[in-house]
Amino acid sequence: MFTDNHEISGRQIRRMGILENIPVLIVFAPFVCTAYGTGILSLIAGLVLVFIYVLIMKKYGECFKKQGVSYSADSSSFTALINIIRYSVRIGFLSFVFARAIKSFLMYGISESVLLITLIVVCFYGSFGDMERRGRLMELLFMWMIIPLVIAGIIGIFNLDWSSLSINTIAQDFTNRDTYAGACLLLCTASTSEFVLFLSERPAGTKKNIMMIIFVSLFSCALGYLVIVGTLGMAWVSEDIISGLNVMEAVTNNIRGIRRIDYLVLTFFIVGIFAVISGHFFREKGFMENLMARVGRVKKDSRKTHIVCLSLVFILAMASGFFFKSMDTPYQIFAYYMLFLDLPLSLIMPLYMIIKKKKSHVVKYAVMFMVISLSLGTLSGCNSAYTSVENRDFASSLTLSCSETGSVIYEFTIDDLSEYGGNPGDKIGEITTYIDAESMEDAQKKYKEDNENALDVGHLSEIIIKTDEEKIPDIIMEHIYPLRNNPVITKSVKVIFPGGEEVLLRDLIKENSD
Amino acid sequence: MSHDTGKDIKKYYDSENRLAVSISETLSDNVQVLTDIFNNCGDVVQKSFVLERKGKPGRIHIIYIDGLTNNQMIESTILKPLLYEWRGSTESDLKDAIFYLEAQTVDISEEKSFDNAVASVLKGDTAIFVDGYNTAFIVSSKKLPLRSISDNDKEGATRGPQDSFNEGIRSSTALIRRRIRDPKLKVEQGTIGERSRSDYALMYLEDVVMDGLVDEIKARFDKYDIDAIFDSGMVEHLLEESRYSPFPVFQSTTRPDKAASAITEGRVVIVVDNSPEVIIAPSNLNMLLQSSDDYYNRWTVATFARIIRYVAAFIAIAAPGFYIAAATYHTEMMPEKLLYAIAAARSAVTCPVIVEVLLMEFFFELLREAGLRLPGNMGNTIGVVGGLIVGQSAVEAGLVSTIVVIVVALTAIASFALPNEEFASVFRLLKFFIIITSALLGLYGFVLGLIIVAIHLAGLTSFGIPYMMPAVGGSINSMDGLKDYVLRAPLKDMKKRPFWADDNEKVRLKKKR
Repeated sequence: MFTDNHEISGRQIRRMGILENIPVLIVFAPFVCTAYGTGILSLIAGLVLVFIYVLIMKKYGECFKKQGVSYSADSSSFTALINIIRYSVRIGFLSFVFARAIKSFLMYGISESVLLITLIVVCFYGSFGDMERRGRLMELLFMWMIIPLVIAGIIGIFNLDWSSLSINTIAQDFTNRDTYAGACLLLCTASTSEFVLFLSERPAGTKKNIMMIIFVSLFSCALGYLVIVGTLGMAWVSEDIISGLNVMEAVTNNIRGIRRIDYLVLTFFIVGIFAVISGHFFREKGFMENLMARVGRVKKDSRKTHIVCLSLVFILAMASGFFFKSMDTPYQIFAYYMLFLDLPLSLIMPLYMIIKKKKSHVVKYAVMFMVISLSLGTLSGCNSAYTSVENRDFASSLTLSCSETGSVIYEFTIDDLSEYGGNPGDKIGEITTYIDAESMEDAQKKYKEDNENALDVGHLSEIIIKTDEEKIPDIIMEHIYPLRNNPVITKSVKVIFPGGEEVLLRDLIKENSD
Repeated sequence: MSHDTGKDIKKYYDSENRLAVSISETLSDNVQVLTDIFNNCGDVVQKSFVLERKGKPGRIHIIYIDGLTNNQMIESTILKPLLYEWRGSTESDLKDAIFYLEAQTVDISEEKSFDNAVASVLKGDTAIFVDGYNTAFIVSSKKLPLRSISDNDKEGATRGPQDSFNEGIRSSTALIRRRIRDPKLKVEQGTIGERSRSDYALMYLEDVVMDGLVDEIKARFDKYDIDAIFDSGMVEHLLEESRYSPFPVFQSTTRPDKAASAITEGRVVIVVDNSPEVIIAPSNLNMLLQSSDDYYNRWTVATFARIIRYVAAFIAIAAPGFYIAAATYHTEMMPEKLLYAIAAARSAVTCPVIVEVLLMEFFFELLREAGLRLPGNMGNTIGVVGGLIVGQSAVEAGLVSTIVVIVVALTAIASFALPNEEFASVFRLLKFFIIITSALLGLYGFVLGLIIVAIHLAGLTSFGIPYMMPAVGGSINSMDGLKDYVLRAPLKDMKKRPFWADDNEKVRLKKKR
């Protein structure tokens, strides 16, 4: 009535920004940088990308502010619909991951579905009301999460094992494509920082406030990485997306006399999780109301519209959460989705809206950034199977035989290029390597584990089956037939049976398909 | 006397239960109306008199309520002068003669509305109808049956005045008037309740009050027609925006010093007749955790007391839930010795932890309610008997364990540390919500429950002022509100009024040159 102006103060913006950014960065960054990247260098490169990305979002928000429009309220129906889907997917994934985390670290006896549902419901409730209410809520909850986290961080810093951070390999990591793969994935993770666009639209979303959010978030991410990886080690952290949360127990274990303070730290960390997910709900609600007003031709501010929008948002979020829960490889699906769909859309759609209204210098930055990201993405090849040629061993033939235990042995004949200098007369030797594997991919993976180089099977000229007659069908079905999906192996490869019979792989596959 | 007259008198009233007749110039008509509407009212005293005047004699009709009126005052200031001292007067205009010459009282007014005249009589005034005139005189003659001003046993304070409001609106406004001797202190009066016609007064400082607040309050008063109002609590519920919220958005107090202090901060005090508690708007959570003696004691002592209160508020809502979460889901949080002690204590108890806690909490609430209803010393005794004997017996019988008794007792003491009883009741209620969420989902449920409460509080406002100020939205006043938050700054540092006070009257303390 007297102070309700549907606006938020600078302090509320800063707190909201930090609260919505830190939980995701702290949990996801160590994992992506260690599992898909090379550690610290991936982190540094990733944070640079995140910084640029957030600056772009800030610029977008400022453009909208100058134009007097709001991205969520004034975007087209198509843009609104796309964003609704994007936010639903994010809500679903984040809820799924954090519900798993809560189950793994706090409530192991409770069903994951129950945790998922309750998390979504409470975060959904937290999105009610206008921006002013949200600002007040974030301002209130800020200290609940930050204080325990800061205490844990300070304790963790003093108990770091610096050797776990592999700082001595930084020079080598410069040339490692995985470094940039990790950086890209960190950028994907931090694309939840898209909310900076919405904050920059606000009168109190000044440069000072936004920059403070950025710097605090990035610093916290870096500090979080140091503490988590420095305490747990890269191997442990890279195991699972939520492995890093083990740090809370590891760090607070040092406090003598008081047991399991990590439970309390994690309990209040849930406040940050709530802030992130409810923030997504809040923005999705804005897009939904916009879409309803345009498509449904209803009043934006009517109670009925609010109820319908909230209901739809809730249903979509639930569906998304359970979708990810039902998947075998949810992380992979989400990573591909973020990299190839969500991140580009988050850059393109606001840009399109700005261009439609008025060209601005932000176009330059955005285009530059997209070029840089795409280049890095291309160079890194976020699929780590794309190894440089000098780091590959080339198999010329493959022999499949059965061991005494019944498992299948892959015998690769590999060209030995160690003495080959590219000059006429240089000899190319052969090395034979035996791998007990379940499939070609498995064999390649095991080869990589034991060798510096990756195994390249793109130059196989023959596949020899060396086993008893009765085991041939199994060998064909389980090990040769699946090669139909391996684009690297040419289907003209000869398959040689024990009796000397030769068949082209293509024909063999065709036979078995029928 | 037949009750059928009840149907006959309906002709005098409109749809809003107000008298629709006007005061007639013919006295007998007025007398008829009065007789009809006050039929079967044994406490109404009314009589017509003939005034001896030179020329044409005057006729008047006096009416008042026995028990509400100081009839001796009427007889000495009205009857005696009019009937005796001024008999034979030659004044031609009887009405003016009575008003300006004959009535020996300052507090006399002319009333044109029959409804208002009757309403005044019902409040304890005396009405005088004069033949030949369509107005009545209202003489203030109230002598209401009231408690005297007593010690404040509801809101104790270690330092400061000990008087408290009582049920009389005039004595309550007088207690505030005593403390603010400023002509800018306004007392705007009105009535509410179609049948009760309860008086209320809005008290505020004209130049300090929040802009638009008084008008907003008046608008809210006008929004509803209600039958009767018996306490300021009913007014509070009528005026609030969010009817489903358990948190009070008005501050209620029986302390005149607290009310006066609120007025000087730019707030409005609403005094309701027949209610010993006044309500203050706007209000927020921080105000509800403040006590009057916070400002009379030194800032270090006051700060310590406030910290205790904030911690107590958290304990009051969270302690039982946290215990359930830790004992049921997260036993590894407890040190071995405590864990083994709890296990040993619980080995004799048949019911789960949640049932134990709910049982003890319910038992405590029962005791509290019983203690309230029983008079005086018996109420105190119940507390001792219940707490010591029954509690101990429950432990020995294996219904509850000693640790639960401790947790529940601690929670109870914490809730008693909160200065505002209505506010403390909210915490007693919400703790059950946290108990249930903790019982269902352990620490996760505990924090979700707190988050849900926080979501609700963040959205609550009192006349536009965020309920959680200055913790939220405090930057609007450059965080000046933090000087009177958990930490109370020294008095000399609290130079400004809260941000909602009028912009031209922000400074309340400055050095004399």
